[in-house]
Amino acid sequence: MRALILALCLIPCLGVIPSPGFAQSDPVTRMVDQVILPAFASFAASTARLGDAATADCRADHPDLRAAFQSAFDDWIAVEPYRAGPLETDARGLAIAYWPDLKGNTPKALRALIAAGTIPAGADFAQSSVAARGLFALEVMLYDPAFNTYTATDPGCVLTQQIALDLAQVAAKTNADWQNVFGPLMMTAGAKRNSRFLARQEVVQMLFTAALTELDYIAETRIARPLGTSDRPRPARAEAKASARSLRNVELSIAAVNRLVQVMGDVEAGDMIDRLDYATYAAAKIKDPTFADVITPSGFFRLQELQNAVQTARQSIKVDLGRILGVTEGFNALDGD
Amino acid sequence: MATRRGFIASLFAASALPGVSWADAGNPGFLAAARESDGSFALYGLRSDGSDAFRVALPARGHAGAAHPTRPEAVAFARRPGDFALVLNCSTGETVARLTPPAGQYFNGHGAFSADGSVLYTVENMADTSDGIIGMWARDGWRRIGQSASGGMGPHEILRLPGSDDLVVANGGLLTDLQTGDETRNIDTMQPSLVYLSATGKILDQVQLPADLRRNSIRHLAARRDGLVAFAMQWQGDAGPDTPLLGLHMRGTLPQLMQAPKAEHALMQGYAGSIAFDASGARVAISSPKGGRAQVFETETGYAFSVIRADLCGLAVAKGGMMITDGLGGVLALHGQDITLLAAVPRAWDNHIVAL
Repeated sequence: MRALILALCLIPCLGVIPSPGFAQSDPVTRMVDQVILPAFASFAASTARLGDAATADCRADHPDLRAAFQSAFDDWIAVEPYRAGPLETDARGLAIAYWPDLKGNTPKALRALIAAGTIPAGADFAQSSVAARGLFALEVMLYDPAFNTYTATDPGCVLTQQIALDLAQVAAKTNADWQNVFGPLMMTAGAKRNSRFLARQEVVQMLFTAALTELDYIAETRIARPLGTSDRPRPARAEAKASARSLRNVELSIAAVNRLVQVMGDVEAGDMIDRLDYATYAAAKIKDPTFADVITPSGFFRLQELQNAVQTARQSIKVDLGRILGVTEGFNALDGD
Repeated sequence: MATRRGFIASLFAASALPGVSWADAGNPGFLAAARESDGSFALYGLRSDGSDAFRVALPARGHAGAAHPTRPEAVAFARRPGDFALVLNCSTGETVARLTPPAGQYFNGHGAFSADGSVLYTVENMADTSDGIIGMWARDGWRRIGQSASGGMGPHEILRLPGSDDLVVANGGLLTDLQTGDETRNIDTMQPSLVYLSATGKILDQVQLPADLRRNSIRHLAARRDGLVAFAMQWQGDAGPDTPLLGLHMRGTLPQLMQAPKAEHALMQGYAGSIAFDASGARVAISSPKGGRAQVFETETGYAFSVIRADLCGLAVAKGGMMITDGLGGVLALHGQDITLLAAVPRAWDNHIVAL
């Protein structure tokens, strides 16, 4: 008994002195309570409002509907790094954000639904191709001139409503799973009946990987696709171009990683944060919200600079946050053979 | 520094010892390469309870090992393109021999012993064309004794079929540009195949997939006692995550492809990194470190369930089920659907764990 008390005392005594804000908690508890669960709750709430707005008035140029769309998309970016768990169930991640759409499947699937005349509703709509669901399908309906001229009595109106309602459903289920199942699983890692997480450190590892994966996604997909090569920049490939969110998505996802790193690492300053701040600064220097100016030499240079900044931040987080948390990057996923 | 003469002498001395067996290397059940937390590399022997039986330092990153059927010897292959393979005495930790591929060829990361352990087969590429070669080495003196064509480009894994001296090779089909590491030069014309060879390298059988699956690189293999071969594939290119990653083949029949339901399948990200049967042979699993999961299939009925775990890759048959390793240091046992963490060590297990 005495040894146990001594051991319990030793851990805080030898560890890093925690900063006052997070004094009583560990990285996993902080992340679950302060970041992840509130973010999924917000995403569920804003997609529910989006469903309401579409039901109230489906027209693509309605300011309430567009504002609700933008707000739901913002909230998606905040939860996007947390892909493990409930977002994997039934391919929810894809049903929410089907991008990059390499073969133009989204417009194709939407056109097919409209041509069929009767738009399936509710659970039937959820059986549709993932390309016809989620934020990117809704973006086409609201912002693509080839789709967004429907009237309140056209099939396009019902389709917009169904996409919005289905998205709200998927977000609600994802949120419920996080609050009731996956959050608790993370908190009870190592408990006897918890086969998902056999040790607390596995959860730490998962969240650490989430930060690195998100930065990879920003640099190698969100930025790299429109960046192309100096010989051939590819502005048409920018994410969420029609809704003018390409740059905003990059900025918000950098912010999401910044929050993750600060809360997880219990740090408010230092090299990692400086580098993330520099990436934010590099993004702010880009004036074109859809990266269309990447075809100019200076536009290309600015986007490339942003990509470098994100990659540099990733390297710093990999080393510094890894050291703080006592984890390393898994290496099979990186370079399989 | 031992002289070559000294090497050979010690080799003969070792071979002459009666009864030297895997028990002298701590009774490992498995071999696995790892990266240590200080960045160095090693080959480990693991017991079935997850504990370390032996450790031999490697000069560079290893990929897979081939274990001698009886003697405590393992051949550790460098990651491809590899210019060396080390024959290790697992009871003493000594390097018995260093194998170097002939000029203009390189090792591809895997190899296998003949049933009696007298011949080692190594998977190789011609450096300029990526044409596949199976190298043959006599254990007696570790001499190169021959080579034959693998029947395709970019062969990756080779296995000896249980209870037989016949071999099966996975020809990945990819042309590797050694200068740049680029493997996309021939994705429109690649032709992966499964090729069966005799012990002397004669092609006995070739299996190719339908043309629409041509970009599915056949990379890794597992074999069941009755000769059923399971192969794991990796899709090349952007589109097409809906293509199968697992195939089963019995000589004389058509290959049978399997995949999980759509949503679960998509999470593999078009990539299967390792493959193994379970102890009963009724189940086979493929792993995707990119998707952080292994999918377990019933060979008779298809997808059964998934094991979700970050950076999981190594799979091997083990008593009562399977053994799993991950890049974060975990060694796990899978019995039925239950997974047990046997060991968590501060090292990153590399792609494969090989059952002895």
